[in-house]
Amino acid sequence: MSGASEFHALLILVLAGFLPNEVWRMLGLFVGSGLSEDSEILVWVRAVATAILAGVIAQILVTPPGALAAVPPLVRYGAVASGFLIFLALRRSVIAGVIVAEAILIAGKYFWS
Amino acid sequence: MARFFYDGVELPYDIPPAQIAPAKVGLVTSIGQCDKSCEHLKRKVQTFRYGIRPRPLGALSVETHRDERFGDRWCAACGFTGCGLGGKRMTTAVEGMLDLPTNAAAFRRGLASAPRSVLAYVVFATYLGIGALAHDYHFSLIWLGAATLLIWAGPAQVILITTLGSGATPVQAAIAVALSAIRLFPMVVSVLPMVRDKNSRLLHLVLPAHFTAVTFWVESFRLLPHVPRERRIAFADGFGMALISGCVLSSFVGYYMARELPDFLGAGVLFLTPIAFLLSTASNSRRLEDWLALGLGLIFTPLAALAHTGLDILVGGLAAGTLSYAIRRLRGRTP
Repeated sequence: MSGASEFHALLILVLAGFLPNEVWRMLGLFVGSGLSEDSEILVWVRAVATAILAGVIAQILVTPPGALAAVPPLVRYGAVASGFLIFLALRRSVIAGVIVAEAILIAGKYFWS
Repeated sequence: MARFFYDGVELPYDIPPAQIAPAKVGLVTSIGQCDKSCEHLKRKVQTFRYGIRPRPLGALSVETHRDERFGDRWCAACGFTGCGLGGKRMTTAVEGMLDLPTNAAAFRRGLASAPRSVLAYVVFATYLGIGALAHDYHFSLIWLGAATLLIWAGPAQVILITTLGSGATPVQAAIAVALSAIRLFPMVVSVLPMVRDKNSRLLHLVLPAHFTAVTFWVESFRLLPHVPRERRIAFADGFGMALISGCVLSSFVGYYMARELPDFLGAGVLFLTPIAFLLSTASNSRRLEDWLALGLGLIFTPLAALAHTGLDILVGGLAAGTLSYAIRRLRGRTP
């Protein structure tokens, strides 16, 4: 990457990534209180934040970047679904779900294509 | 013997440690009476989230004490939470206070606490995936390192990389990051009272505030009560720096793995991000609107992408989140 475009990318990182994120921490530091965890606005914010993250997850799975794009869609969705089922079956064990999903994805990619 | 603190001042109570749940901190948000029953406390304590649980209530007989100095009651059965201490913070520290004579010793102890934390390895693994994601969306190593140091929040980094990497404008990325980061505000508000003491300068709290993200937040509740109050800033700085350095390193490892490993393994590292974030969000989902936001978000955003608005992540996220919230409102506030 050239110097100018690298600088441009870092500038966008600061403006679009660092500042909109850090402003909430600094507000917490300087304002200090007054927003209850259960206030209605925070419930809405949490729902939107969860949905945005879920949307990004879906985007990575549906239109994946790089190496993941070479994995057949059926393997990707199958791995996620099995991981989720294992997660539910084993009392919400994140680690077990991740391991099973990873194993299925890697094996699927290895044998399928 | 446990030591009790109320807004940074040690209280003169002697309570057998057996009666006190291991170090917890409460931010009392409303005023209530606690004479005979802990019912209202049960409600309040449940506002503590992110895996910090109150001890089971009813295991002990309820005992309330009147503090001469503050003229307020607090409840020994609940271990820590003040009753009638509107808006005040109260912490307990259990036996096992660390001996940290200097700030340097506290800083080193903070550094050493990170590799001993199980949660630290979970977040390192998460950053392995984020590094691979950054590689496959064509970001540079410098950009990746700077993003981890400056943002230091996994979801925000995943959102930023995915939105920018898939061609969204920086303004959309900034809005999505800002919406995902609002949750940091109450975290900072609740963790800083544990870190600071009466003489803390605001400037010294900037770094602990920057380190505040879910791992640091949860581990602070576990670790800080064992640190003498005047050493907590140094300890938190050490702990936060060790966490963040470990994450920068593991994101670099993930970046190189995505670059060097054969395709089927590279895909596996890349796959860590969606599956780990999906399952950890699911494991944090307790109420109806949490599940709805997760499920609808997964469906809405690809649908919005079909419409080729170029705003799919924002439109999908806002629509799915708002709909989940609306459904919760329509159903009333039943859990």
